[in-house]
Amino acid sequence: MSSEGEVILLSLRVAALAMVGLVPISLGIAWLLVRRNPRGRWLIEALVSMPLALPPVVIGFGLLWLFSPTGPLGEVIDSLFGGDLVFTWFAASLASAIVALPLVVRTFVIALEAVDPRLELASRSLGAGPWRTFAYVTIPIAARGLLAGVLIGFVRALSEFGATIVVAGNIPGQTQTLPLAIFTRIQTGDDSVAIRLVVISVVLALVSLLLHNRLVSRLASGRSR
Amino acid sequence: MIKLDLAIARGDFHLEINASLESGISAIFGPSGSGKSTTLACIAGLMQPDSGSIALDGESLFDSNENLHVSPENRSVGLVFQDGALFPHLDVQGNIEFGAKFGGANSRKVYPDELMKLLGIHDLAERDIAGLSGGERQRVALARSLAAGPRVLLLDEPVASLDARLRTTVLGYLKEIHRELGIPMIYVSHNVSEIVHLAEQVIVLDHGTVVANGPPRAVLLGQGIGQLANFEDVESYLSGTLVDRGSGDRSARVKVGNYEFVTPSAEHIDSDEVIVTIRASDVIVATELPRAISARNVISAPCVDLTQSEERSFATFDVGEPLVVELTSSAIAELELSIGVSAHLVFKTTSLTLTPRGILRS
Repeated sequence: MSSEGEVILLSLRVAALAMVGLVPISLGIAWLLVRRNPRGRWLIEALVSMPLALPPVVIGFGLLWLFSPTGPLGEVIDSLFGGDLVFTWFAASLASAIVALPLVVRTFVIALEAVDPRLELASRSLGAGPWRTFAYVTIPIAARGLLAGVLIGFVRALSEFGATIVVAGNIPGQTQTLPLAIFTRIQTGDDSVAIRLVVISVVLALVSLLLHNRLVSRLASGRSR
Repeated sequence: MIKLDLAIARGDFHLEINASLESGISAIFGPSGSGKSTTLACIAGLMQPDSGSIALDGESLFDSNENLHVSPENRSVGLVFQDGALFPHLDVQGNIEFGAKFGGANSRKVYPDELMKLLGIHDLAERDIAGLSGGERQRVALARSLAAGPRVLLLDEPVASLDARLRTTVLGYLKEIHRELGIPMIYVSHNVSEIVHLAEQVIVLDHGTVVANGPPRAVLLGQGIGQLANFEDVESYLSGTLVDRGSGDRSARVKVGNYEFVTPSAEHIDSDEVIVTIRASDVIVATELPRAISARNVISAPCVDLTQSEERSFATFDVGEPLVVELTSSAIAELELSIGVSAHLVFKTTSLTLTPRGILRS
């Protein structure tokens, strides 16, 4: 397989794993914010938005400190899995997930806010418990908005650079995702490969964003109905 | 039977209810903000009272002393929202099957197919929720709740958002469903006519307290609730069968009880079963048979009830079903009207409105 193919597959894998972990967590946070209106809402919102405000390098540094073999979580991971997290593609996923978190949570919040809470009450009184109500009423009604959140998160995860390079390194075939590969080719003066990768990036981003915008505009027209 | 003894406070709003609602159709009446919907939400378990107890057929659903709050999905209490609160991601059939899927195993369970036939929405099965009319929505919501097999059906102003024509149709459905399935209902409304027509008992709420409790005609048309029901047109809804549809400006004839009413043409109505709506203030009472009169309807019926308050007076006549007539207390005195006495009732063709009766049959 060409090295470009390898880079793309790795990038997709990193971003996909990031979303697998991120979606349930973001759904939980968004639900808490929308339906429970918790007392510390401002704090949760501020914490969730932090990755948006911080330089990604700082996030990478934080993760490195947390997960390094001598770090507070590094020892736990080592005793659990007998290995290191840093400088693996798993670490790249983690970095991408954290950077994408604010975008996903914000989109999920909008999607859940569009669900009339009375529909959930109606479902409860029809005999469906809270989990079933969430699965059979809330999620299907919010589906478009949630999917838009997943897409925007996926795009953000794909383009993650700063945090990834700190905590996962830039190891070809292991942690070298699309942005890192472009960076490396530019540095080594391998312009033709760099341009190919740039074009692939642009196409991936464009397709995802078009899909996302389509979903969002459908969501808006669906709500005004 | 539902026993309510509850108190709840939310901000400035206080609600305190101590009453029991017998089986059959009972109603909660009151102006908006009086606590009607809150009461229903407490019975359905969607809201938790601050203190007190709620029991359904002897089974405790909420008891603050025992720290008991049965969650809504375990109560088998159906709640029909004012606008239906239908699930937009499911079609009509999907909505109704939702109730059947999650509802408790209960002897009252009716199959979705049967319900759709019963409520005349079988043709809508695959329709989108967004394309339904108000009356259709209400019927789908009703079917959805019934499919879950509730022990009691709570109806939160189910016809308030409908126009007059649809309102009587849905009221007809409700009455027949009760007759057919025998499900107890609690009907919330701020409309006197609906409650007098449907319910056997009414609780009147004002500012969160019970101000009256008893049979609807005595309570709502009689004394005790003063201006709460004072500014409303009272109507009677009578079930009838078309004898002659009429056409254009040729009148139709409808059989109501043993009487035949002359009504506006029924060309636009495709069922033979109709509901005749008549305003209490549109009926004239005479003790001698009026002759040479333009009004086409002159019937003789016995007075079965008189309710007089300082503000308004009503006489109810038995025409097979109760027909409520509004008149002044001086008229009652002058005509020497009393219970058991027959009188002539006079009303114009155009003061009658016909709507198709939602008849429950396949």
